[in-house]
Amino acid sequence: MMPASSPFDLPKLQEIFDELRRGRHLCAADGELYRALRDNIAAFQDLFGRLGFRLQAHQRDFFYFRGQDSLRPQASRMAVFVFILIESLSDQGEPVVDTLMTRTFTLADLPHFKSARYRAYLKEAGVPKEEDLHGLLRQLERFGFIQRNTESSFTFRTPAYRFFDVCIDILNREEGSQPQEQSP
Amino acid sequence: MAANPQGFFRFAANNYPLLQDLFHRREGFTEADLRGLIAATTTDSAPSPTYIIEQLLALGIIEPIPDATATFELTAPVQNLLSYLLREHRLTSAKEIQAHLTDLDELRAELDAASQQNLGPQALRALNDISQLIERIRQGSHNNREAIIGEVIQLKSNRGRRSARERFEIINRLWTRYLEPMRDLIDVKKAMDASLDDLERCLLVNAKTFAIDGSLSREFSRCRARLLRLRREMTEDFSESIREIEPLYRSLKRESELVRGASLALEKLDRSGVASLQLPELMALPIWRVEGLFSDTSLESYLAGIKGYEPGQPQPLIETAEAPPPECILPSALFASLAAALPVDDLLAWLLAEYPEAGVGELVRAYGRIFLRPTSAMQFAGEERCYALPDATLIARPLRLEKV
Repeated sequence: MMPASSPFDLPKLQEIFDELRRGRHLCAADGELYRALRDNIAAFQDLFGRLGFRLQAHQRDFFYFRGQDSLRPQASRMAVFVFILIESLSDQGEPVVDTLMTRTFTLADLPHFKSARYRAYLKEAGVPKEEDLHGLLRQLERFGFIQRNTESSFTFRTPAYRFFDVCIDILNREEGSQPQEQSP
Repeated sequence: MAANPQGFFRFAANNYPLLQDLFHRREGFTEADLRGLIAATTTDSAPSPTYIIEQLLALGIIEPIPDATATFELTAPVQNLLSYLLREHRLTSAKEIQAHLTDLDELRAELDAASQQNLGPQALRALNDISQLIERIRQGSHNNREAIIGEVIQLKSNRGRRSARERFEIINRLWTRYLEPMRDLIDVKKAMDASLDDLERCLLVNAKTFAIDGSLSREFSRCRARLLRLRREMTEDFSESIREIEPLYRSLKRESELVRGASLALEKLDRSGVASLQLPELMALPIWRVEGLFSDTSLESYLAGIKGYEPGQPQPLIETAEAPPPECILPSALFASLAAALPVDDLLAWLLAEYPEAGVGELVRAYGRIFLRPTSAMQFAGEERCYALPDATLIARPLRLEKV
C-alpha cells in the first residue's frame, strides 16, 4: 500500500503516461486526461522529469512529451502537410490561423495534390500519392494534431499550434539576426 | 470663371451617383468611360450625356489630365470635398505637418515683430494666418485618424482577398510612415511640442500689447483656444489611431511571420531537401520504445515495486568441497601432448590412452580437431579395427601421424 502523499498517486497516471509516451498531445478536447494533467501539472512534470521524460506545457494550454534522442521521422511529412495548407490559405486571402483552427477540411478540397509544386514537396517529404494522405491523416490524429470527423474530413486541434511554432523557428533561423519590422 | 455655388450643389445633388463613381476612379477616366457612367447612373428623363459633360467641366468638377488626350479626373477641391463627405481621407505625411510647423515659426516671428512695433493690422494678419495653419494641421491629423481607421476596417474585412503578408505590408507602411512620425510630433521632448510652446507663449505675451484693442484681443484669445484644441485633438487622434491599428498590426505581423516561415520552409525543402529543415528535431516527437523504459510493464506497479521494496537477508553462498573435473579436452593441451608424442601409430588408440575419463563425444571432437588441423603427415591403415569404450564401440581404420 502506497502512502497517501506518494508522488505516484496521481490521477489517471497510467493512461496519461500511455498517451504521452506515444507522442500524443493532450488538450482540452481530451477531457478527463487533460484536466487531471492540468490540475496536477507540477507533480506530473516532477515525476516524469525524474524518470527522464520532458513534459512540456504549451502556452496554448496543451501538453506533450518532448523527445530528446530518438525522434519520430514522421514529423517531417506532417509539418510539410501543414506548411502547404498555410501557404495555400494565405494565397487565397484567408486569415490563416483562424481558418486552420476553425474550418472543417475535407480530403477532396485539400490543395496538396492540386499543384505540381505541392506534389513535389510532398513527394520529397515521403507522401508520393494522393492515397497516402489517408495514412498521413491517421498519423496526425494519433499525435493529437487533428480530430477526424469522418474518414475524409477533419478539424485541427489546439496542438496544431506546434506547427506554427516551427514556422516561426524556421523563419528566425533562416532570417537570422536581420532587423525585423518595427513593432508597436 | 468662378462656379456658381448654388448651381454646383444643385448639380451635385442631381448627379450624386455619378460623382461617387468618378471619385473612385483615381486613375482617371476617358470620355467613353464617362459617357458609359452617365448612361448607367442617370434616368431617361435626364439631360443628354454631352450636356452633363459640359456641366462637369463648367462647374470645375472634372478637368483634363495633362498628359493624356480626352481623359479626365476630378479636380482636387472636389476630390477633397468628396473625401471629407465619404470619410475617405487622404493621409497627411509627417513631413507635410512639419512644413506647416516651419510656417508657424515664421508667422510667430512676424507676430512678435508686429507687437514690438505695436502694429495692430499686421498682427491681425499674422494671427489669421496662424489660425488657418493651426486648422490645417488639425484637419491633417484628423484626416490621418479617419484614413487609418478606414484602412484598418478594410483590412479587417479583407474584401479584396489580400494575403496576410500583403495586408501586413500595408499596415506596416501606415505604422512606419504616419503613426511613428506622429508620435515624434506629439512627444513632449521633441521639436513640435517646443514649437507649439513657443507659439503659446508668443500669443500670451503679445495679447497684452493689444489688450485695449477689443477685437484684436478676442482674436488672440480665439487663436490660443485653437492652439489648445489642436494639441488636445492631435494627442487624441494619435491615441485613437494606435488603439485601432495596434491589435490588427500585431495579429497581421504574427500571421505574416507564420506564412513567411511556412513559405521559407517549402522553398528550402525544394532547394536542399526535407532533411535540411531538421523537422524531427524541431517537432521532437518521442519514439516510446526507446525512451519509454517502463513500457513493457505498468508504470504504476513498477514504481510501486521500487518504492515499497525492502531488502531482506542475502542468501548464503553454497560452498562445495571440490571443483568438478573439466569435462572437455582443451585444444591447446591436446596439441601440446600430441606434438610431444609424435610419431603416433594409431590416433584414436592414443586418445583413449591419453584421456581415459573422456566421453565418446569429447574423444571424437578431439579426433576431428586433429584431423581438420593437420600438423603432421597422416596416413590411414588398410584394415579396420574395433575400439571398445565404456559406453560405445567405435570401428575405424587406424590413423598414423608422422613427425615432420
